[in-house]
Amino acid sequence: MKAKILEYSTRLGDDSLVLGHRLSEWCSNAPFLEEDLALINVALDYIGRARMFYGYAAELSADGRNEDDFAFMRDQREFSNLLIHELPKGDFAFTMLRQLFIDLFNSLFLPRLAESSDKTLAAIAAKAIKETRYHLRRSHEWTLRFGLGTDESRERAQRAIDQLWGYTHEMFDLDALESELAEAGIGVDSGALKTEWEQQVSAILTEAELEQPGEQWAVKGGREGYHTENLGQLLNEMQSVHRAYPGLEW
Amino acid sequence: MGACRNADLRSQKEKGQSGLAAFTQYAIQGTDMSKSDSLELYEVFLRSRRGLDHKHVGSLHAEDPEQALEYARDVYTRRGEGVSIWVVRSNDICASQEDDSESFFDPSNDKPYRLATYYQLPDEVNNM
Repeated sequence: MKAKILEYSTRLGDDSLVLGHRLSEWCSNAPFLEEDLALINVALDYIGRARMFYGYAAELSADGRNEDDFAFMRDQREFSNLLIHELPKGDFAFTMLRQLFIDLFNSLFLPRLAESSDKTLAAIAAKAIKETRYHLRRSHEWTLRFGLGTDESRERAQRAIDQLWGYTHEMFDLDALESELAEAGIGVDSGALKTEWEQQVSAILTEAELEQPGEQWAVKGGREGYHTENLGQLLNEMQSVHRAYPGLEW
Repeated sequence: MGACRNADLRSQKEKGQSGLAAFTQYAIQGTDMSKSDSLELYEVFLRSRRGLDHKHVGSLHAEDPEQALEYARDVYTRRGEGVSIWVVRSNDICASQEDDSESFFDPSNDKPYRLATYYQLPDEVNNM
């Protein structure tokens, strides 16, 4: 069971780190100064979350690895993040609509994880809930600004929704490991969150006068290590310094 | 002369620039040119602890008060600086002007009798 919790914590760490890195790419590139700082705050929340999940995984592994080894010394096939997190940051609408979908998911997922019988996972989730509540407030409001803003902002938001939708289904897909942990009261049955998530997405899109996504296609594979080409490029950049100077302290 | 003018000096300065200068400024900063038109300037006040007053800490641009409040949180409270935030449209602040300082503030310089320390208390008055 310990090995399974290690794997589970690593997956959640991968989700957080990859998304956190994607958001950090906006640093100095956001539409204006205030939004730049706000987005990077969110990126830091995710990277902090990744540290906690990796730290716990390292502790469980008991083989001398630390959180940095999990972040910087694993290859693409070993990363198990859901694909939606690794998609390139796109334009600002794409970034914020992805946040909306993920923030809504996390706002349902984390309260359940906070009830986990595993005390460490529960504590990480309890801390993350507060962050996510604020993230959702931001992505919700931006969705309204896009939808009710100009023709261009509405178009870009609509395009982002259509591009992202096929990647959202994977969030509710459980494999054998996740099902077993959910049954044991350690993990979360995310499949059970789908209906509520869809209702909340639908309500916000209606409020923003955006169209509900129509296309029904689904991509998955992230949990098994099958990724889009984007993850390789992201890891290449993110891990380059650590790999060039392993163990360097500063 | 003595008129109430708003404190939004930054945005007045921006408006005062020629179109080309404004364009260059925003192009260099890589910022959306429409910023000075669509975003308003807000002044931010923070209360650092319960029981203390709100203090002015700076300003920022935002589209509306709600967004200004969130950006104030993101820009000015990252290191746990506050427990309460106020934001006020800079345009809504009526500020005294440097030109007025002689007539506003100098006249009080020679009126020490307005200060409590000017008066000697009789010995019978204890614990004032």
